[in-house]
Amino acid sequence: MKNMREKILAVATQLFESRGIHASGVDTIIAESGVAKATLYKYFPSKNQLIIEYLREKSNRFYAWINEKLADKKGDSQELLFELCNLYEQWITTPEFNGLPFHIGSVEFPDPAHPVHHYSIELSNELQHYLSELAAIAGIKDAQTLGQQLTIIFEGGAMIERLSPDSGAAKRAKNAAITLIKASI
Amino acid sequence: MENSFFNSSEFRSQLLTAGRSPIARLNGLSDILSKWNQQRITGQNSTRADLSITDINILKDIIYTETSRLKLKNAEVVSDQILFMLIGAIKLQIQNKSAKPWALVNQSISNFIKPEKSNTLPLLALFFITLIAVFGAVTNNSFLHKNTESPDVFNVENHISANELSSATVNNLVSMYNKMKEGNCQLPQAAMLQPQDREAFIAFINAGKVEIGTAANLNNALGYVHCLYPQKLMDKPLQNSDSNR
Repeated sequence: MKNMREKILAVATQLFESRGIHASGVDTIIAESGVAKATLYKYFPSKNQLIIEYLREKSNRFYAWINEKLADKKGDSQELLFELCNLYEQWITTPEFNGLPFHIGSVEFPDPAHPVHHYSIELSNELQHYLSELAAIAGIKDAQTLGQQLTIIFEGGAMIERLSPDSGAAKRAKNAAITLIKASI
Repeated sequence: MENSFFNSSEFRSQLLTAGRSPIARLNGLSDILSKWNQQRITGQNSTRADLSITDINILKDIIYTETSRLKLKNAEVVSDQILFMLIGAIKLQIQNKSAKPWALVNQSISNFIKPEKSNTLPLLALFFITLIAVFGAVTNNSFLHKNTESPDVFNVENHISANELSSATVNNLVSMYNKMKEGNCQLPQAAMLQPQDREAFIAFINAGKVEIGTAANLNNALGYVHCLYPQKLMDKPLQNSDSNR
Protein backbone atom coordinates (compact mmCIF):
# COMPACT_ATOMS: atom_id res chain seq x y z
CA MET A 1 0.00 0.00 0.00
CA LYS A 2 2.98 2.23 0.57
CA ASN A 3 3.61 2.07 -3.16
CA MET A 4 0.22 3.59 -3.81
CA ARG A 5 1.08 6.59 -1.69
CA GLU A 6 4.41 6.97 -3.47
CA LYS A 7 2.74 6.63 -6.83
CA ILE A 8 0.26 9.41 -6.07
CA LEU A 9 3.03 11.62 -4.75
CA ALA A 10 5.18 10.97 -7.83
CA VAL A 11 2.34 11.89 -10.17
CA ALA A 12 1.49 14.99 -8.14
CA THR A 13 5.15 16.03 -8.16
CA GLN A 14 5.38 15.67 -11.90
CA LEU A 15 2.18 17.70 -12.40
CA PHE A 16 3.10 20.41 -9.87
CA GLU A 17 6.45 20.93 -11.48
CA SER A 18 5.28 20.90 -15.06
CA ARG A 19 1.95 22.74 -14.76
CA GLY A 20 2.17 24.51 -11.44
CA ILE A 21 0.51 23.72 -8.14
CA HIS A 22 -2.70 25.68 -8.66
CA ALA A 23 -3.15 24.40 -12.19
CA SER A 24 -2.97 20.78 -11.06
CA GLY A 25 -6.33 19.85 -9.59
CA VAL A 26 -7.06 16.78 -7.49
CA ASP A 27 -9.10 15.30 -10.31
CA THR A 28 -6.16 15.49 -12.68
CA ILE A 29 -3.89 13.87 -10.11
CA ILE A 30 -6.42 11.09 -9.61
CA ALA A 31 -6.81 10.58 -13.35
CA GLU A 32 -3.06 10.59 -14.01
CA SER A 33 -2.24 8.25 -11.15
CA GLY A 34 -5.13 5.90 -11.88
CA VAL A 35 -6.35 5.68 -8.29
CA ALA A 36 -9.75 6.18 -6.80
CA LYS A 37 -10.58 9.47 -5.15
CA ALA A 38 -11.03 7.66 -1.83
CA THR A 39 -7.56 6.18 -2.12
CA LEU A 40 -6.02 9.59 -2.64
CA TYR A 41 -7.83 11.05 0.34
CA LYS A 42 -6.87 8.05 2.42
CA TYR A 43 -3.20 8.99 2.09
CA PHE A 44 -3.59 12.71 1.64
CA PRO A 45 -6.66 14.03 3.46
CA SER A 46 -6.53 17.28 1.47
CA LYS A 47 -4.77 18.83 -1.49
CA ASN A 48 -2.92 21.03 0.97
CA GLN A 49 -1.58 17.93 2.67
CA LEU A 50 -0.47 16.59 -0.69
CA ILE A 51 1.33 19.86 -1.44
CA ILE A 52 3.02 19.79 1.95
CA GLU A 53 4.17 16.21 1.35
CA TYR A 54 5.45 17.23 -2.07
CA LEU A 55 7.49 20.08 -0.54
CA ARG A 56 8.75 17.75 2.21
CA GLU A 57 9.81 15.15 -0.33
CA LYS A 58 11.52 17.76 -2.47
CA SER A 59 13.36 19.09 0.53
CA ASN A 60 14.38 15.59 1.65
CA ARG A 61 15.79 14.82 -1.76
CA PHE A 62 17.90 17.94 -1.57
CA TYR A 63 19.30 17.11 1.88
CA ALA A 64 19.95 13.48 0.91
CA TRP A 65 21.85 14.58 -2.18
CA ILE A 66 23.87 17.26 -0.49
CA ASN A 67 24.71 15.10 2.56
CA GLU A 68 25.95 12.35 0.32
CA LYS A 69 28.16 14.81 -1.56
CA LEU A 70 29.49 16.36 1.62
CA ALA A 71 30.00 13.06 3.44
CA ASP A 72 33.75 12.97 2.89
CA LYS A 73 34.22 16.67 3.59
CA LYS A 74 32.90 16.82 7.13
CA GLY A 75 36.33 16.78 8.68
CA ASP A 76 37.75 19.57 6.62
CA SER A 77 36.51 22.90 7.81
CA GLN A 78 36.81 25.37 4.97
CA GLU A 79 36.53 22.79 2.21
CA LEU A 80 33.18 21.69 3.58
CA LEU A 81 31.65 25.14 3.15
CA PHE A 82 33.27 25.82 -0.19
CA GLU A 83 32.00 22.49 -1.47
CA LEU A 84 28.55 23.40 -0.15
CA CYS A 85 28.65 26.50 -2.36
CA ASN A 86 29.68 24.43 -5.37
CA LEU A 87 26.80 22.05 -4.74
CA TYR A 88 24.39 24.93 -4.37
CA GLU A 89 25.43 26.21 -7.79
CA GLN A 90 25.05 22.73 -9.27
CA TRP A 91 21.65 22.27 -7.70
CA ILE A 92 20.06 25.51 -8.86
CA THR A 93 21.41 25.19 -12.40
CA THR A 94 20.00 21.74 -13.03
CA PRO A 95 17.19 21.81 -15.63
CA GLU A 96 14.79 20.32 -13.08
CA PHE A 97 15.31 23.12 -10.59
CA ASN A 98 12.09 25.07 -10.18
CA GLY A 99 12.78 26.99 -7.00
CA LEU A 100 13.58 26.34 -3.39
CA PRO A 101 10.81 24.29 -1.76
CA PHE A 102 9.94 26.95 0.77
CA HIS A 103 10.02 29.61 -1.92
CA ILE A 104 7.50 27.68 -4.00
CA GLY A 105 5.22 27.33 -0.99
CA SER A 106 5.25 30.99 -0.04
CA VAL A 107 4.90 32.31 -3.59
CA GLU A 108 2.02 30.06 -4.51
CA PHE A 109 0.34 30.62 -1.16
CA PRO A 110 1.09 34.17 -0.05
CA ASP A 111 -1.52 34.15 2.68
CA PRO A 112 0.40 33.68 5.94
CA ALA A 113 -2.55 31.81 7.44
CA HIS A 114 -2.47 29.18 4.71
CA PRO A 115 -1.10 25.83 5.91
CA VAL A 116 1.25 25.53 2.92
CA HIS A 117 2.64 28.98 3.55
CA HIS A 118 3.05 28.10 7.18
CA TYR A 119 4.88 24.92 6.25
CA SER A 120 7.19 26.82 3.91
CA ILE A 121 8.33 28.87 6.89
CA GLU A 122 9.29 25.63 8.64
CA LEU A 123 11.27 24.56 5.58
CA SER A 124 13.01 27.90 5.41
CA ASN A 125 14.01 27.65 9.07
CA GLU A 126 15.12 24.10 8.48
CA LEU A 127 17.52 25.20 5.73
CA GLN A 128 18.83 27.96 7.93
CA HIS A 129 19.49 25.50 10.76
CA TYR A 130 21.11 23.08 8.39
CA LEU A 131 23.47 25.72 7.02
CA SER A 132 24.25 26.95 10.54
CA GLU A 133 25.05 23.40 11.61
CA LEU A 134 27.40 22.95 8.68
CA ALA A 135 29.05 26.26 9.55
CA ALA A 136 29.47 25.03 13.13
CA ILE A 137 31.00 21.75 11.93
CA ALA A 138 33.34 23.82 9.79
CA GLY A 139 34.46 25.63 12.91
CA ILE A 140 32.89 29.00 12.20
CA LYS A 141 32.68 31.04 15.38
CA ASP A 142 29.38 32.74 14.64
CA ALA A 143 27.88 29.81 12.79
CA GLN A 144 24.30 30.95 13.24
CA THR A 145 24.91 34.30 11.58
CA LEU A 146 26.74 32.71 8.67
CA GLY A 147 23.91 30.18 8.30
CA GLN A 148 21.42 33.03 8.07
CA GLN A 149 23.57 34.97 5.62
CA LEU A 150 23.96 31.93 3.39
CA THR A 151 20.22 31.27 3.49
CA ILE A 152 19.55 34.83 2.34
CA ILE A 153 22.10 34.73 -0.44
CA PHE A 154 21.05 31.26 -1.62
CA GLU A 155 17.46 32.44 -1.68
CA GLY A 156 18.33 35.57 -3.69
CA GLY A 157 20.57 33.68 -6.09
CA ALA A 158 18.00 30.95 -6.65
CA MET A 159 15.30 33.45 -7.42
CA ILE A 160 17.38 35.38 -9.95
CA GLU A 161 18.62 32.17 -11.55
CA ARG A 162 15.04 31.03 -11.94
CA LEU A 163 13.88 34.31 -13.43
CA SER A 164 16.88 34.58 -15.68
CA PRO A 165 18.30 31.11 -16.36
CA ASP A 166 21.84 30.79 -17.70
CA SER A 167 22.60 34.38 -16.76
CA GLY A 168 25.39 33.23 -14.48
CA ALA A 169 23.45 34.26 -11.39
CA ALA A 170 24.10 30.90 -9.72
CA LYS A 171 27.83 31.21 -10.10
CA ARG A 172 27.84 34.79 -8.88
CA ALA A 173 25.68 33.85 -5.90
CA LYS A 174 28.11 31.05 -5.13
CA ASN A 175 31.01 33.50 -5.20
CA ALA A 176 29.10 35.90 -2.97
CA ALA A 177 28.55 33.06 -0.49
CA ILE A 178 32.25 32.23 -0.57
CA THR A 179 33.04 35.88 0.19
CA LEU A 180 30.81 35.71 3.25
CA ILE A 181 32.37 32.43 4.37
CA LYS A 182 35.87 33.85 4.05
CA ALA A 183 34.83 36.93 5.99
CA SER A 184 33.55 34.79 8.83
CA ILE A 185 36.55 32.46 9.12
CA MET B 1 3.17 47.93 -17.78
CA GLU B 2 3.12 47.23 -14.07
CA ASN B 3 3.67 50.23 -11.87
CA SER B 4 6.77 49.15 -10.00
CA PHE B 5 7.99 50.70 -6.80
CA PHE B 6 11.51 50.48 -8.18
CA ASN B 7 10.56 52.77 -11.05
CA SER B 8 8.89 55.32 -8.85
CA SER B 9 10.18 58.76 -8.00
CA GLU B 10 9.31 57.98 -4.39
CA PHE B 11 11.92 55.24 -4.33
CA ARG B 12 14.55 57.46 -5.97
CA SER B 13 13.93 60.30 -3.59
CA GLN B 14 14.10 57.99 -0.55
CA LEU B 15 17.39 56.70 -1.83
CA LEU B 16 18.83 60.16 -2.35
CA THR B 17 17.92 61.21 1.16
CA ALA B 18 19.43 58.02 2.62
CA GLY B 19 22.89 59.53 2.76
CA ARG B 20 25.57 61.43 0.96
CA SER B 21 28.07 58.61 0.57
CA PRO B 22 27.56 55.51 -1.57
CA ILE B 23 27.92 53.28 1.51
CA ALA B 24 25.27 55.28 3.35
CA ARG B 25 22.94 54.94 0.38
CA LEU B 26 23.61 51.20 0.07
CA ASN B 27 22.81 50.74 3.74
CA GLY B 28 19.83 53.05 3.33
CA LEU B 29 18.65 50.90 0.45
CA SER B 30 18.09 47.96 2.78
CA ASP B 31 16.07 50.17 5.15
CA ILE B 32 13.93 51.44 2.28
CA LEU B 33 13.33 47.95 0.92
CA SER B 34 12.62 46.56 4.35
CA LYS B 35 9.90 49.16 4.98
CA TRP B 36 8.47 48.81 1.50
CA ASN B 37 8.34 45.04 1.86
CA GLN B 38 6.75 45.29 5.29
CA GLN B 39 4.02 47.46 3.78
CA ARG B 40 3.48 44.84 1.10
CA ILE B 41 3.20 42.13 3.72
CA THR B 42 0.72 44.03 5.83
CA GLY B 43 -1.27 44.94 2.75
CA GLN B 44 -0.68 48.69 2.88
CA ASN B 45 0.65 48.48 -0.65
CA SER B 46 -1.71 47.39 -3.37
CA THR B 47 0.71 45.02 -5.09
CA ARG B 48 2.03 41.86 -3.50
CA ALA B 49 3.28 40.39 -6.73
CA ASP B 50 6.58 38.60 -6.80
CA LEU B 51 9.53 40.63 -8.02
CA SER B 52 9.90 40.69 -11.78
CA ILE B 53 13.15 40.53 -13.70
CA THR B 54 12.60 44.22 -14.57
CA ASP B 55 12.44 45.10 -10.86
CA ILE B 56 15.60 43.14 -10.26
CA ASN B 57 17.42 44.83 -13.13
CA ILE B 58 16.44 48.29 -11.88
CA LEU B 59 17.66 47.39 -8.43
CA LYS B 60 20.87 45.99 -9.86
CA ASP B 61 21.53 49.21 -11.81
CA ILE B 62 21.01 51.31 -8.70
CA ILE B 63 23.38 49.16 -6.68
CA TYR B 64 25.95 49.18 -9.46
CA THR B 65 25.83 52.97 -9.67
CA GLU B 66 26.65 53.17 -5.98
CA THR B 67 29.36 50.50 -5.95
CA SER B 68 31.00 52.15 -8.98
CA ARG B 69 31.35 55.30 -6.94
CA LEU B 70 33.29 53.35 -4.34
CA LYS B 71 35.98 52.83 -6.97
CA LEU B 72 36.21 49.14 -6.24
CA LYS B 73 38.11 46.96 -8.67
CA ASN B 74 35.24 44.52 -8.82
CA ALA B 75 32.25 46.85 -8.55
CA GLU B 76 30.12 44.59 -10.72
CA VAL B 77 30.79 41.53 -8.57
CA VAL B 78 30.09 43.45 -5.38
CA SER B 79 26.87 44.87 -6.78
CA ASP B 80 25.76 41.34 -7.64
CA GLN B 81 26.54 40.17 -4.14
CA ILE B 82 24.54 43.00 -2.62
CA LEU B 83 21.69 42.32 -5.01
CA PHE B 84 21.49 38.67 -3.96
CA MET B 85 21.35 39.68 -0.32
CA LEU B 86 18.61 42.25 -0.91
CA ILE B 87 16.48 39.90 -2.99
CA GLY B 88 17.01 37.09 -0.52
CA ALA B 89 16.06 39.32 2.39
CA ILE B 90 12.90 40.47 0.59
CA LYS B 91 11.91 36.85 0.02
CA LEU B 92 12.69 35.69 3.53
CA GLN B 93 10.88 38.62 5.08
CA ILE B 94 7.78 37.64 3.13
CA GLN B 95 8.12 33.98 4.07
CA ASN B 96 8.90 34.42 7.73
CA LYS B 97 7.12 37.70 8.39
CA SER B 98 10.23 38.84 10.13
CA ALA B 99 12.55 41.77 9.55
CA LYS B 100 15.43 39.73 10.99
CA PRO B 101 17.14 39.05 7.63
CA TRP B 102 17.63 42.78 7.09
CA ALA B 103 19.88 43.04 10.11
CA LEU B 104 22.29 40.75 8.31
CA VAL B 105 22.12 42.56 5.00
CA ASN B 106 24.08 45.62 6.07
CA GLN B 107 26.61 43.42 7.83
CA SER B 108 27.02 41.42 4.63
CA ILE B 109 27.35 44.59 2.54
CA SER B 110 30.27 45.56 4.77
CA ASN B 111 31.79 42.11 4.19
CA PHE B 112 31.45 42.48 0.45
CA ILE B 113 33.06 45.91 0.39
CA LYS B 114 35.73 45.28 3.02
CA PRO B 115 37.84 42.48 1.49
CA GLU B 116 38.84 44.65 -1.43
CA LYS B 117 40.31 47.20 0.95
CA SER B 118 41.91 44.78 3.35
CA ASN B 119 43.71 42.92 0.61
CA THR B 120 45.67 46.00 -0.42
CA LEU B 121 47.89 46.18 2.62
CA PRO B 122 49.16 42.59 2.60
CA LEU B 123 49.81 42.87 -1.13
CA LEU B 124 51.82 46.03 -0.61
CA ALA B 125 53.75 44.39 2.21
CA LEU B 126 54.35 41.36 0.01
CA PHE B 127 55.63 43.60 -2.74
CA PHE B 128 58.11 45.32 -0.42
CA ILE B 129 59.32 42.00 0.95
CA THR B 130 59.83 40.76 -2.60
CA LEU B 131 61.69 43.94 -3.43
CA ILE B 132 63.94 43.51 -0.42
CA ALA B 133 64.64 39.91 -1.32
CA VAL B 134 65.47 40.83 -4.91
CA PHE B 135 67.76 43.64 -3.83
CA GLY B 136 69.45 41.47 -1.22
CA ALA B 137 69.99 38.54 -3.51
CA VAL B 138 71.26 40.52 -6.46
CA THR B 139 73.57 43.07 -4.91
CA ASN B 140 75.33 40.96 -2.31
CA ASN B 141 77.47 43.61 -0.58
CA SER B 142 79.30 44.97 -3.60
CA PHE B 143 77.13 47.46 -5.34
CA LEU B 144 79.34 50.52 -4.88
CA HIS B 145 82.29 49.00 -6.74
CA LYS B 146 82.07 49.13 -10.48
CA ASN B 147 84.76 46.51 -10.89
CA THR B 148 82.72 43.89 -9.15
CA GLU B 149 79.46 45.11 -10.52
CA SER B 150 77.36 42.49 -12.16
CA PRO B 151 74.98 43.33 -15.00
CA ASP B 152 72.32 41.74 -12.82
CA VAL B 153 72.37 44.69 -10.51
CA PHE B 154 70.90 46.76 -13.26
CA ASN B 155 68.24 44.18 -13.83
CA VAL B 156 66.64 44.94 -10.51
CA GLU B 157 64.15 47.14 -12.26
CA ASN B 158 63.51 44.49 -14.83
CA HIS B 159 62.56 42.08 -12.11
CA ILE B 160 59.79 44.39 -11.02
CA SER B 161 56.84 44.41 -13.33
CA ALA B 162 55.18 47.56 -14.55
CA ASN B 163 52.15 46.83 -12.41
CA GLU B 164 54.17 46.44 -9.28
CA LEU B 165 56.03 49.69 -9.85
CA SER B 166 53.07 51.73 -8.77
CA SER B 167 54.90 53.43 -5.98
CA ALA B 168 56.90 56.56 -6.74
CA THR B 169 58.89 55.82 -3.61
CA VAL B 170 60.12 52.55 -4.99
CA ASN B 171 61.05 54.21 -8.28
CA ASN B 172 62.99 56.86 -6.45
CA LEU B 173 64.78 54.30 -4.35
CA VAL B 174 65.80 52.25 -7.35
CA SER B 175 66.92 55.36 -9.20
CA MET B 176 68.90 56.65 -6.25
CA TYR B 177 70.42 53.24 -5.64
CA ASN B 178 71.69 53.12 -9.22
CA LYS B 179 73.04 56.66 -9.12
CA MET B 180 74.87 55.96 -5.88
CA LYS B 181 76.25 52.76 -7.30
CA GLU B 182 77.59 54.60 -10.32
CA GLY B 183 79.31 57.15 -8.10
CA ASN B 184 77.13 60.01 -9.24
CA CYS B 185 76.22 61.14 -5.77
CA GLN B 186 77.88 62.42 -2.68
CA LEU B 187 77.19 60.13 0.20
CA PRO B 188 77.06 61.18 3.82
CA GLN B 189 79.64 59.87 6.25
CA ALA B 190 77.92 57.09 8.08
CA ALA B 191 79.37 58.27 11.37
CA MET B 192 77.54 61.55 11.21
CA LEU B 193 74.13 59.88 10.97
CA GLN B 194 71.94 59.05 13.92
CA PRO B 195 72.48 55.42 14.99
CA GLN B 196 69.17 54.11 13.61
CA ASP B 197 69.47 56.16 10.42
CA ARG B 198 73.03 54.91 10.05
CA GLU B 199 71.99 51.31 10.42
CA ALA B 200 69.26 51.66 7.81
CA PHE B 201 71.64 53.52 5.48
CA ILE B 202 74.40 50.92 5.79
CA ALA B 203 71.94 48.10 5.19
CA PHE B 204 70.76 49.90 2.07
CA ILE B 205 74.19 50.59 0.53
CA ASN B 206 75.81 47.33 1.58
CA ALA B 207 73.04 44.84 1.03
CA GLY B 208 70.46 46.79 -0.92
CA LYS B 209 67.98 46.20 1.87
CA VAL B 210 64.95 48.35 2.51
CA GLU B 211 63.35 47.30 5.77
CA ILE B 212 59.76 48.43 6.14
CA GLY B 213 60.29 49.05 9.84
CA THR B 214 63.23 51.37 9.26
CA ALA B 215 62.06 53.01 6.04
CA ALA B 216 61.67 56.34 7.83
CA ASN B 217 65.27 56.14 9.10
CA LEU B 218 66.50 55.34 5.63
CA ASN B 219 64.57 58.30 4.34
CA ASN B 220 66.32 60.53 6.87
CA ALA B 221 69.71 59.20 5.87
CA LEU B 222 69.04 59.57 2.17
CA GLY B 223 68.27 63.20 2.82
CA TYR B 224 72.03 63.68 3.11
CA VAL B 225 72.73 62.13 -0.29
CA HIS B 226 73.40 64.77 -2.95
CA CYS B 227 73.41 63.71 -6.53
CA LEU B 228 74.04 67.13 -8.05
CA TYR B 229 77.79 66.76 -7.56
CA PRO B 230 79.33 63.44 -8.55
CA GLN B 231 81.41 61.71 -5.94
CA LYS B 232 84.38 61.01 -8.09
CA LEU B 233 86.49 59.88 -5.20
CA MET B 234 84.18 57.06 -4.53
CA ASP B 235 83.59 56.27 -8.20
CA LYS B 236 87.22 55.92 -9.26
CA PRO B 237 89.28 56.74 -6.18
CA LEU B 238 92.68 55.83 -7.52
CA GLN B 239 92.32 57.68 -10.83
CA ASN B 240 91.06 60.76 -9.12
CA SER B 241 93.79 60.81 -6.54
CA ASP B 242 96.41 60.41 -9.31
CA SER B 243 95.01 63.27 -11.33
CA ASN B 244 94.90 65.46 -8.27
CA ARG B 245 98.59 65.12 -7.74
